[in-house]
Amino acid sequence: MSQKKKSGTELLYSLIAEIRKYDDSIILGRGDPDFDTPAHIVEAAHQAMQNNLQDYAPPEGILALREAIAQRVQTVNGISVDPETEVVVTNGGQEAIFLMVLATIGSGDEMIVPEPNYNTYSDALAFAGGVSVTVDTFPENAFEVDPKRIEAAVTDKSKVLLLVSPNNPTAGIINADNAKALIKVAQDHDLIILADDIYDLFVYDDYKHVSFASLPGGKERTLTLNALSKAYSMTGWRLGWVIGPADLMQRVKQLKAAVTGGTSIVTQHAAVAALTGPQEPVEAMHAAYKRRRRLVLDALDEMGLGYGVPQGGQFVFADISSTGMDSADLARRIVEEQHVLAYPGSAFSPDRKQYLRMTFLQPEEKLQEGLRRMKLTLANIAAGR
Amino acid sequence: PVDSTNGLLPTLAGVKTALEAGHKLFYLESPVRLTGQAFNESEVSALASLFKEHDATVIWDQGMSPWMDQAAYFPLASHPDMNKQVTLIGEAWPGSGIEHMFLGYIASSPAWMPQMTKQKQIMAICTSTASQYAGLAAANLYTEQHTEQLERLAQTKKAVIDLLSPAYGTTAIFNNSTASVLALSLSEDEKSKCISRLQSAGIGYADGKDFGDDSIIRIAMTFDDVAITACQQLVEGL
Repeated sequence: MSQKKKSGTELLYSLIAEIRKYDDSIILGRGDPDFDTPAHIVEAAHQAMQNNLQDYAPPEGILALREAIAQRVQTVNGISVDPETEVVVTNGGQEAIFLMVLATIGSGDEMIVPEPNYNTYSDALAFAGGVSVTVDTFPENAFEVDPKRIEAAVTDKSKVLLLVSPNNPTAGIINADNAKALIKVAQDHDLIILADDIYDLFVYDDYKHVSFASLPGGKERTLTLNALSKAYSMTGWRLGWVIGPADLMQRVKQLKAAVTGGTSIVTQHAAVAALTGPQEPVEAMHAAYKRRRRLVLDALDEMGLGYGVPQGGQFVFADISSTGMDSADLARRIVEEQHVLAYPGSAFSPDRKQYLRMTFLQPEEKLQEGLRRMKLTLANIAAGR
Repeated sequence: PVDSTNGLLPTLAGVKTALEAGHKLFYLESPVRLTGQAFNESEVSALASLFKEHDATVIWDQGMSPWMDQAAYFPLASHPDMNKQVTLIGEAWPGSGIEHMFLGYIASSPAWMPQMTKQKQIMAICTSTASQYAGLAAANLYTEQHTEQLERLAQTKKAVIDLLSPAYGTTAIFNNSTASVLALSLSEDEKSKCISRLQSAGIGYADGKDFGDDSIIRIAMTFDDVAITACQQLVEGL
């Protein structure tokens, strides 16, 4: 293993293992919200442990949760689904990704992937025997996905188009016009769209999130995933879902039954509380992320680093090319010198060695301290030290 | 091929044939999930010899083994050197009330674990934190109560066999090793009636068709009298 270049996932996990050695570490790379899970959700889990532990948990999820999900995606995303046949509950967004890819990709099938992207898609695609066909996005236009470039990538083996908005790690959002154009590309070439909506509640300034399945021509060919981890600070709970047309969802359900069976009954009841209970905690988190986003962008400006304006999500993709360093080397140096971890862009795409992904998932004081320390290393590099 | 006279366990001859044909990865259940039958000591020894000779890898599903008398259970991984060739899977702390938190385990050699861990990360990142902490508590509970639970299940199973033998005949009942289930081989009509009665009684069962054998039905034994009552109703309804 030591002789092989680390994969993106392996690189990230090696850096995480490294930073854990330090008591004063500050992690600005991971995607786990730092807020506590709202109290009413925890209480619902407690009640479920008292009263529901013996409830049957079918692979697709309990009906009450599927109904809550259907209500949520209608209200927030404008997508109408039948909870009986068009919703499957998963063990987190990660399992949703895995199931969506396995349900739609066979050996040799191509998935068109705007890059950079969250490395898990490549891992799932490799497992399914699929082939990734990447299409670059650029900071000059905030990493927007260009429908013409997507269409140019279509071949006779193309099966799936992956669309993540807001995107991880770039934080770019696909606007409504491009979304419609991308659906047309999918229609013209009979592609299935895999849509990742996990950051749909976290958009900034005047940007708007658009769900592909809510647009004309989108619903019948789109599988959409979401999860509670980001919006409700429930990363360790592992609760997500996939929605889509009944024929594709039947396949997703079969795979869910084969891969993990059910999802924890306790988590499912907690999820019902999350989706149907008070939403003020989500709004409070969003307000905090807005403030922190400003902090990070101001700090990057002071460091002289460029970035595509983060339109959504919980992170910014900063251009570190002015340092002259590879992002993996820079990330490692910052870990060693400052005990601060930002994720190297090369973990998300081999062609993005000049980027670092920084999240704003720390309390403001810690965020400021982490950024202050990073500035020290960047100053040393600029001074040739 | 499996042996219908031995609880649907794979035949040793069948395993040998597959190894000689060059197959290197085997998935074996002991006990068999549908019938509850486990390999005996001589069978496990014979399997260990075969797998060692052919350097094959085995995934050994021992999920139902906690419901056997442990003196009568012979895990393949306990044979010398087999732990390098065997990966164990199972459910965590059955009988502790956390079944619907879906906590299981994989135990394997250091050579295999990095790849399995990586695959776990790709598929789901991690297991629910709450489930894992529940598992820690369940481990203690299991130690305290498992012996008594096993005895109760064994008593239930004996009572159920006594009830069903006159009705279906002893040959229809799998003489399996596991106290937690009882498997029956029935005609289509008998099975249909049986399922209907079990559903009315609200007792857990598994249909053999979901395992690839239409003729079998597997009834879950219970710590309380529910299984006995259900089987009484089943017999009365025949």
